[in-house]
Amino acid sequence: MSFELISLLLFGSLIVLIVLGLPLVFALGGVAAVFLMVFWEPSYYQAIFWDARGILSTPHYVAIPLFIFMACMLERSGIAEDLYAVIYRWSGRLAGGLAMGTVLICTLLAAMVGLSGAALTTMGVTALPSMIKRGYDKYIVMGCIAAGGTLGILIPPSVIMMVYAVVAGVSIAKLFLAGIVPGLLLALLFILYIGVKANLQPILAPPLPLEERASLREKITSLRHVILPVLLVVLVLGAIFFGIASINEVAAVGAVGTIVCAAVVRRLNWKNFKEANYETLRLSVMIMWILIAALSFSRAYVIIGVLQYVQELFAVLPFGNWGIILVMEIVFIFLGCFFDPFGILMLSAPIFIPIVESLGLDLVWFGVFFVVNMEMAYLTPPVGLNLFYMKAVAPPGTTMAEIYRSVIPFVLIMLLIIVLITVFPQIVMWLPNLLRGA
Amino acid sequence: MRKLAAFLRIIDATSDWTGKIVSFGIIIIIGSIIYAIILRSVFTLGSAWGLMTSGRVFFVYIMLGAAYVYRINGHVNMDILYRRFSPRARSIADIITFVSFLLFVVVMLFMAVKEAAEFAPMVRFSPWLFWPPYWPNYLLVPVGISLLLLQGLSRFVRNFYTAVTGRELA
Repeated sequence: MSFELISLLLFGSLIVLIVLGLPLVFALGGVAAVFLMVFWEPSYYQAIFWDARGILSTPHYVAIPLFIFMACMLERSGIAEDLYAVIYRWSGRLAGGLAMGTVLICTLLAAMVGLSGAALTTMGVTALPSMIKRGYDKYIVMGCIAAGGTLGILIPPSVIMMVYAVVAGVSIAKLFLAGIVPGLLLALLFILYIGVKANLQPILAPPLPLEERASLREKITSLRHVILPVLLVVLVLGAIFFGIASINEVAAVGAVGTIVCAAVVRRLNWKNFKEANYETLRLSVMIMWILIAALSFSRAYVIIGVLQYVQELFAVLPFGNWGIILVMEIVFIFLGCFFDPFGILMLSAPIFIPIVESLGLDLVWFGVFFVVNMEMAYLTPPVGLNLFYMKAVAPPGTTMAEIYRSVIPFVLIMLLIIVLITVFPQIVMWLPNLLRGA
Repeated sequence: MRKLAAFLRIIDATSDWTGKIVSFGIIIIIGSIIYAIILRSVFTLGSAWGLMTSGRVFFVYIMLGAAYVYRINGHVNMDILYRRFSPRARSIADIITFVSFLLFVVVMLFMAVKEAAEFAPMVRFSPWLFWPPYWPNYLLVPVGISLLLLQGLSRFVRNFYTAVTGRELA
């Protein structure tokens, strides 16, 4: 069989299975099993199990369920609700203040959790109805919460960055550091966008009515809710960046820290604890199995020769580095519409990482470039996980099309950030380079 | 038919309960790492035990939890078209795609069983008596994948029933 026919079969069967509604994991795994046995050799069925052993024996990956547990526990601890109460008191006469505050909370939560869904679901239950009640435009409300949630994977800690760091062989701490400036910049741009829009059209995001504004005393006392989250952030990020402990240890301490936090605010009960455990298992299994299946699948396409083919293709692209980055960007946007970020990472890494290296680009920079793209993947239809989460918490009667529309400005801001970090890589590399200097 | 339905419910319940029990494995992982940290920082002792336990429990945790997550539809799928299918068309689509699931899981199970058969009988003593034993890792992984396979078969039977009769099997 010719190479073209085999690769058509490989990707064609994958697409048919996915369109018929099979979860991506089983589509990747099943197709990989067949192709490895038929086009490599029959004994290669072993590869899939060895991939499972290989991935699940990677020492750093033990931190993944721990960070997930942190997110799940935090989601149930009600800390996000308390933070929203603070924002509510402080936003007072500012048009769009609640929405800007929501982005701020998402940023703070992002510094505690490494996933995209946690901040979204908690803010979706508290901030969303509250803002709608105060007469906020629902597009701004849904957009800022769905987009704010994605900050979780760019601002450290971040689960997907950990996986990328292991796959690309770069330092986790360095990659985490690299995510901070672009993450804060992104949050700042979200806030600026909301602020400008709300002040041009205050009808979209009215200031609080006079009788609901808090006194200075109330404002100051409400600040006590900020203490715990900030302590937790300092504990986790400090331990990572000062190299006090390995990533697994940091994650374990963080997990215990969230349990303590939940206990301090008196929301640690059996029900919350149990549900946090179930949810942790669900997300961990989902992520780890997709890593395994995607690794096997990438093995299959490497074997049939797709890798060399793509590399030859990239070699003849015009405009040098810029052309290649542009093509990668388009590929990421396209894949992001259909696949989940962990699948995209495992599928694209064997092709892109060698190319990036041969171009002389920094793999840490490419990691941030990739993660910002994955933030967009969470927001781009038809398969954007945050859109589904948003659908679950959106006001009744909201259609999917309205949710798509609400995230457009935020996706555009993300594109702007991608352009910025491509043109000025110093935005990304400044902090990690400081680490090298020290 | 009633007996079949009862049997399928037993499979579902098994997946549910293993999942719920296994989910507490995260506490063991956290605990063993914290134990290692305390030993190191308070008593300045290294603990290979804590690190090894966390790694091995992690492996079993992910493998044993698979059936539960499959049962509650925890995996992401693309449902632009699937959502619009009638229940009967959905079950037919599921029957077609089941082939891929089956191949993936059977291939994994085969290898896991082979590995367990090879290693579990050899009493592999850890270098030190109190180090975590090897055998649970080898034995529990095939168990987890078998549960996933059973859960898949149970769903297949339900889909088959729906595809043929157009109703749902209780």
